[in-house]
Amino acid sequence: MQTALTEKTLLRDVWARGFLDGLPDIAMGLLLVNIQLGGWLAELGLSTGWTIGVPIVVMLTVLLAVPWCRRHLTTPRLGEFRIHKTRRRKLLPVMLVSVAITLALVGFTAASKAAAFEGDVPLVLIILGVFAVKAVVLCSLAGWYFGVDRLYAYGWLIAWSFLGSETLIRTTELPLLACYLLGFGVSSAVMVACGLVRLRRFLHDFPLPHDETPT
Amino acid sequence: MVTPEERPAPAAEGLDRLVHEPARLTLLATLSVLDYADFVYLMNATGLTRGNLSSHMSKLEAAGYIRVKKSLQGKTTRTRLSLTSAGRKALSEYRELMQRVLEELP
Repeated sequence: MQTALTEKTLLRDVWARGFLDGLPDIAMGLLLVNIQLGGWLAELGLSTGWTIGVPIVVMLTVLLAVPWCRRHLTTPRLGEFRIHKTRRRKLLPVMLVSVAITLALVGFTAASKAAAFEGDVPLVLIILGVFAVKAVVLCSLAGWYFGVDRLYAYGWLIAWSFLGSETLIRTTELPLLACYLLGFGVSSAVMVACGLVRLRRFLHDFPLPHDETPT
Repeated sequence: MVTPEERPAPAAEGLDRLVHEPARLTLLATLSVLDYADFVYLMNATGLTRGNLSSHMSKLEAAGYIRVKKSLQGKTTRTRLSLTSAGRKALSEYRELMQRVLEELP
């Protein structure tokens, strides 16, 4: 039962329920590792068709599997609901801030482009840095708005995936595959593991009701 | 006959007792941020038992504060609840009156 009946608490409770089943964590983890999947397959010597095709298939599978699982696993246990349209509209300022941040970062990347060619910092590191900052900012914004604390950590994990793997490639003698694994693989594994633990807990805490017919 | 001790304070007299009950207030407040919710969701969100929720649901529906729609999905009945404009108004009036009552408390 809710502890407070303020609009803020009620809305956060409703938004947070969307993350109770761990499915968003699993999807985020799989989509993150999928970014580098093509690179890994190329390292293994597979043809361009495979390096492009497999990540697309994985992405589509994840994007289709999550709604399917929601429909068959989550909704029967948690129930069905839709947030009121006036409250959904309150997401608009948050989305506008996200777009503004993205545009500012794109502008920063463009401005840095010339400087990168003249200076010592490679352009790819600047672009990855921009991705990393964006991930931290957007995940923190989502974590704050939805009241889901682990999203803050996910922002840093995504940032590490982009910057960490590239830094490892440039500064160590490790093979490319190992650098990707330490960067993207570790972050993804943490997210998927967290999602699986949450899913297990969710299935335990929310058993399937026999019939929802009111008495 | 109502004794002076039992008589509510003048400001509290207009409180809607249907809304004032904690479980129904939680139910109405939860529905106020939603377009609709089904029975299972409200059981989880409010912590009420099936019987309790059903009883409060009937009272609120009879007062015209919530709308209840039942549909068959496979072998189970899905009950979908939503707040009516009368329910939203009652909740808003309750909040305003309650604020005044609390301000007048010694």
